[in-house]
Amino acid sequence: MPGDQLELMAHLMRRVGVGARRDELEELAARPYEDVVEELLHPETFTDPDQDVIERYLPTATSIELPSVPASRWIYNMANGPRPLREKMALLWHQIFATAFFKAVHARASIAQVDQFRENGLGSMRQILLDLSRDPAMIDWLDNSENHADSVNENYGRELLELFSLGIGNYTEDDVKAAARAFTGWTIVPGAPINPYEMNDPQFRFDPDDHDSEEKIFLGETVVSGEDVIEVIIKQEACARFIARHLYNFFVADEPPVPSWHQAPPVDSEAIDTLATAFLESDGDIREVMRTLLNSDFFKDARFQRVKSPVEFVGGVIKLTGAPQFPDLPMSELSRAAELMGQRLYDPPSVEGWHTGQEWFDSGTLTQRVNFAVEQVMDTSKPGIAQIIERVAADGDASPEQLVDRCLDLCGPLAVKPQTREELIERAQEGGALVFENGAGSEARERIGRMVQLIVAAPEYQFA
Amino acid sequence: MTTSIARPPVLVVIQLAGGLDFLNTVIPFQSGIVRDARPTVAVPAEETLPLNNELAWHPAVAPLKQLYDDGKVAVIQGAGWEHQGGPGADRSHFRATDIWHTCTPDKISTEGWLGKLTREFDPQSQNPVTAVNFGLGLPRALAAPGVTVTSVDSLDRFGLMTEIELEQERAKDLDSFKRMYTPAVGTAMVQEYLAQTGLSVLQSAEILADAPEQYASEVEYGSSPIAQALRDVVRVHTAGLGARIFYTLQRGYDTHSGQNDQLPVLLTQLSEAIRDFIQDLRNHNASEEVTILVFTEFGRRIRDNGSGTDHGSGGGAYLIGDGVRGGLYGEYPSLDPSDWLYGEDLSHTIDFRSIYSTVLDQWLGVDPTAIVGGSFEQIHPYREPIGVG
Amino acid sequence: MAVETNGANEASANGTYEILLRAGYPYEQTLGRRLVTFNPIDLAVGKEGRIYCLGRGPFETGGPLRILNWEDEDLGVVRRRPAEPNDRPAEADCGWIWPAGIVCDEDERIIVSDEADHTITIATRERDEEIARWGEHGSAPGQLDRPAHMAIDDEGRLLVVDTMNHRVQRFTMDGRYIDGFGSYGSGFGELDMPWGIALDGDGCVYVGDWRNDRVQKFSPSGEPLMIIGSSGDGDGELNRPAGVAVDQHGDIYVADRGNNRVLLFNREGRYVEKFLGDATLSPSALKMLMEQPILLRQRDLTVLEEEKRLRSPASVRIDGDRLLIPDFGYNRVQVYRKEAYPLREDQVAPIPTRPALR
Repeated sequence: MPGDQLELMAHLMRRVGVGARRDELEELAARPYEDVVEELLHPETFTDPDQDVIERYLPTATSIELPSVPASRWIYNMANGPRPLREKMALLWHQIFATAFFKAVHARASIAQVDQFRENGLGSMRQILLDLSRDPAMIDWLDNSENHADSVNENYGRELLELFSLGIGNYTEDDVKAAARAFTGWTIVPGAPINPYEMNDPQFRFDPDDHDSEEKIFLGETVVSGEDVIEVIIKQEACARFIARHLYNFFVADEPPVPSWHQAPPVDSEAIDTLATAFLESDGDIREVMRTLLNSDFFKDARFQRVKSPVEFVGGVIKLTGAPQFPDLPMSELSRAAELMGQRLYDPPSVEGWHTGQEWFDSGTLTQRVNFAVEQVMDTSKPGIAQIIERVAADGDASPEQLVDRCLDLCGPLAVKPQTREELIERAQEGGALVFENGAGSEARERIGRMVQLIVAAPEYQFA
Repeated sequence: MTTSIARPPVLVVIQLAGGLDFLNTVIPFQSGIVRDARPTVAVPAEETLPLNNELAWHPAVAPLKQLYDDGKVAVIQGAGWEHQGGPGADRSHFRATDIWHTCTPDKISTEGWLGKLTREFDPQSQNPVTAVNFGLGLPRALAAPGVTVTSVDSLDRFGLMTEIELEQERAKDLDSFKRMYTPAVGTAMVQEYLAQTGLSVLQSAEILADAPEQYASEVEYGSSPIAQALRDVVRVHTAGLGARIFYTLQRGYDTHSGQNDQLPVLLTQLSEAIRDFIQDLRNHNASEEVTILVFTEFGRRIRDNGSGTDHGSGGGAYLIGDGVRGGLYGEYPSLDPSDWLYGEDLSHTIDFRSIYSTVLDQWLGVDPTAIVGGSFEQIHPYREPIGVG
Repeated sequence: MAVETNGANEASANGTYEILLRAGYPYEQTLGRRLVTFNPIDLAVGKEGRIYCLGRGPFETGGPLRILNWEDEDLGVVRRRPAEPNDRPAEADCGWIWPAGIVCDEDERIIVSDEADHTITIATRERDEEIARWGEHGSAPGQLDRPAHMAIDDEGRLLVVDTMNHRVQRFTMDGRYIDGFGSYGSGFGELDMPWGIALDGDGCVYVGDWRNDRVQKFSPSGEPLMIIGSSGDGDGELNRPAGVAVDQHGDIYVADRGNNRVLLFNREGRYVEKFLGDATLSPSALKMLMEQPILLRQRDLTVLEEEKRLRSPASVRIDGDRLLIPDFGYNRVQVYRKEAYPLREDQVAPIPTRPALR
């Protein structure tokens, strides 16, 4: 099969998930690209790995104060589940609708919120915003339970427009007030508090007596309810462009930080136009917009244009190593590792979500990234690493150049700049040619393992 | 400026993670109210270490008693802030810690006060070890855009690819790493930034690599993480690398249950570590250069829960060092039940930003206003004002 | 009455009664609370009313092995090794990694299995650390792969559910392998990641066949005798059943974990009734609440219906006529007390030949 098809498939899988094993890639690359995309867009046709088994060994109930168990399970499913796009969409909405853990006195609600993103992440924008507006964790987080007919709290109304759907500059202060009034009475019934036993799930409740049912003018239209507001929002070109840009930033290439979007133009405004059009023409069907995105040339050409988020980085490394496979003790390292790299799932730093792109890097987080990757691939008995070594070995003796090229090919394939390749070759040359005969096989295999260690430490490995 | 200071003043911040029970650290041992409210965790008065007619240290603080008696420990009573989000939010570990780290009780912010201070000390980011954190992960207190902070898990195993056992292989790998991360002409901005970050990691590692070798000491620290971290602070400080801010934390103060088992262990480890640290600095003639600030995100509930204590407010903070004028500062929170916050908590009596302002202004000679986000009344725990006038 | 039932109970232990007159199974009390009996995965009743409640924390953090009594007093913890300070709640870490099961022997030694390091630890409440630990990871006879619940037979030997080897193995207390039975599968007598285990008065073995959604009864020598339950959430159906127990009358209890309930089957395997949870405030929970005005207010504003239910129970234990359910997801133990009278043959009419509506 043509190498480019394989590379394209590797690119696709890095973006809709955290990468794919070589054998998976070869299978995928034998099929038409559009078919693979179509399958990915329908995660509901697959079932997850046995969640009961994970629940048996890593019960969510033990994780009420620190979301490390569901976070690790999330990363694990991203790497090992049959429907990575579902997990990535949940991550995208979690990033946009950033709800932090600390204020969720009902932490179970935070977990349920992400489950909802997972369930309907590829659905219609209308439904996504409706679910969000009824989500107990969100209602608590942005104080909509304090938003009363006779004393309006604008927090949710404002963030809905500014951060969740339109972006600064596409609404007025009067629109914020109208939106806030429309969501009065959207509140929660709390469950039992965490002490003395354990919390219960809060429930959404619409309180008609606390709802301002007068007509309001929102973005030039007459509205009464929160549903009306959402209906107006999703018809806005601004909403289409805002969501398009988020999708581009998350799946195609890094955009400047979100707060600067009202000033900084998109990296590729033509691409944003295309996605926004798909959004408007499909009445905000996210699956349709994603179909357009993944089949576009601008997507296919955007190789290694995004800095991996910590979660993607950790997931990518465990995908490469093929371990842990079973819900095993080392699974606990996954959320912790991502946390040390600056991303604690379920706990974005503020309502703006994480700052992405190059802002993921500082000296501490880069150290964590490099050391985590090197440490994980060091154990050559892990199935993924063993597979790489055996495949390099299967091609027989190799010059230093061949050693480097084969390893780069199997670690992605990872495209590196000439400078990096030269450094790797120089390092490979110290050991001379790779020879398997005359009992030299084990030393040769060791050298392959060391080459893989160096490759995951290379700057290119930080990009998806 | 006192003349004995050879190097610019240094701040060591110790965070007691989990929420140290102030009522059981500086104990109002005469108070019947406290005794009644705490049938399980109250320390018998005769076991406490009185520091005046009303207050006494928890017996596990004994190793610090001498330092206190010598006037080197300032206890700041009732440190906290005006709750904004109600007990639910302000009693969250995450939120309360963030508030101490970012100085913004009223809104969520991601810039830390020590990050800003680092920028003040090293605006061009020329010295990556201006601020050094000992522990995994960077606390938000040290985070600020464009500010480089070195985060060290263990000084003896610091740097990149530390898992590679063979020293020779590792050295070569680091060499390769350095060349792979050397910015090439015409690369994209993000790649250049990544390259520079990679090189700065190597640079910090090189700077810190010699510190352990230069260090010799008579002091035998304990094996607790806090003792080891403070030893690392001395090793880096005495190496004269220009570090001005050190940060570390001791975990385990979230004593909801079994407080009587856990708290003494932690307080003993902490007190011994600080005692040894000060002694070590004295031996190196450097004790006048360092102030320790100890804080915890919140105090704990007045009534115990039958096994431990739950999240509360009105905690304490401590300034320790040979430059400190010891004693009690601020006011002990009222124990009168009618004054209890929410009917169950100590009310704070001093805003924590007052403490930060004091240290910034009087110890480090830095204008605190921008760093803590406003003007806060200061206390006076320094023998002489330093860095002003 | 008391004399009568005692006599009948004795008879029942020998399995000589005809039918059981079931008077009721009232809820009796709740023990423990969050942070004291944290995520109880299993429990064992020792002497003098001591209850050993085994907590299972997230990941490698183990959990507290808390000792309580019927008055719900906190009598401290048992440790596998001395605690080290860390960022976990105080005392949450008693030295186990993934503790799964606990039993107490006649000398009140405490035996705990750990699924993470595949070991069995023997400890006592007096010492602050283990007295013995054994277990080798693997699939050969005598090796273990994720040991779960355990039971002690009448000769004082330990039966261990060896989950990932899909079998039950018998050891001496000092870890010498004796015998075992079971293999992977869904057929009669086969097991799929079994979890719970219990013995009846005849030495028959009941195994919680977790991934097959059933309990299987085996003879003392490991011959399959009976299947109890099937997949589902209806009456008598099971969703990932974990712990099992058998009482003096031969009644079989199953922690129907996935359905958040405990089912009761009679000794023939016929479904009798279910326990959904009836928790009230335990003494320690009450104390905690009374000291917290905010919590009292919060509680007053909530709907309490859900809170009394069981959540993900992983075990069920019998102590005399008491039924104890470690209520994993609610950090407490719910206790019921059985009222039943075994009847002799001459007290009961013969079995009818057909069911009738009269």
